[in-house]
Amino acid sequence: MRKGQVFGFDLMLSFIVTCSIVYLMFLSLNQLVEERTSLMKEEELEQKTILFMDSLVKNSSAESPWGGAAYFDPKLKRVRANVLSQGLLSKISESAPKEVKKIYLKKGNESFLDRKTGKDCIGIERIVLIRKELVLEKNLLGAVVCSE
Amino acid sequence: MNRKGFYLLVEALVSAVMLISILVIPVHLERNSSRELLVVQKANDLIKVWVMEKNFSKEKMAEDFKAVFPGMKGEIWAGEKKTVVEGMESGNSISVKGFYVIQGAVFKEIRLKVFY
Repeated sequence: MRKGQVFGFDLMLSFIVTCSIVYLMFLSLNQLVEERTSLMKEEELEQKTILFMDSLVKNSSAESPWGGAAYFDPKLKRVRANVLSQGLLSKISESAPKEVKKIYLKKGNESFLDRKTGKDCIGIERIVLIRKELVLEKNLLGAVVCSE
Repeated sequence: MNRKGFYLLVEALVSAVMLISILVIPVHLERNSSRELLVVQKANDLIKVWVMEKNFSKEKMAEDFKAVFPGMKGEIWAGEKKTVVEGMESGNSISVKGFYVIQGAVFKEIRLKVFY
């Protein structure tokens, strides 16, 4: 083999290796970005579900009870966190955001919102006291929130 | 030894090492989980519910704990009583506490430790 041929072959090999390395770097970077995006979506959905449930349990809104169904105590003139009004829960209807698919009470299988679940859903259950007329009943309030 | 051949071999080896190192670089993505926040919220819920119910029986509290944290280990202190709920052992734990008043305006502490 001549000297020129050896160097030519060496140059070609180096070029191929460099190109492969650059290609693999881009491929790896792309994969990393995709994984990060997917994780961010999961985290966002998880936070959204946690905030939704916290709002439902701690706030009180007669106009939009899906944003808060806690019992407003007229004697104390304040909202009682973790004590939910059965009346407000019953008013939760289709006006709730489309991402919210289900709202239910575990004990007794009582459902206040029941929509068809989409993909990527997160469910959370919190322990609450339900005020039915004058009686307080302990139960688990659950909600399922989906990305779509 | 053929010097040129040796140089070429070294160059090829360096290229191969670089290629392999890029392929085996471990990529670890940390998830910013809100799990701790959820555990704190649920533990606070339990404390609030127990204080409102004023029922500090060991069995009832253990039952509630199991319903809220299925499969998890927990420790509950209500006044001087301690209840241990057996479950999955974990190095991570979160502790929350609250107070309740008994007859004679005496403050009692209620504490909950969740291993998650």
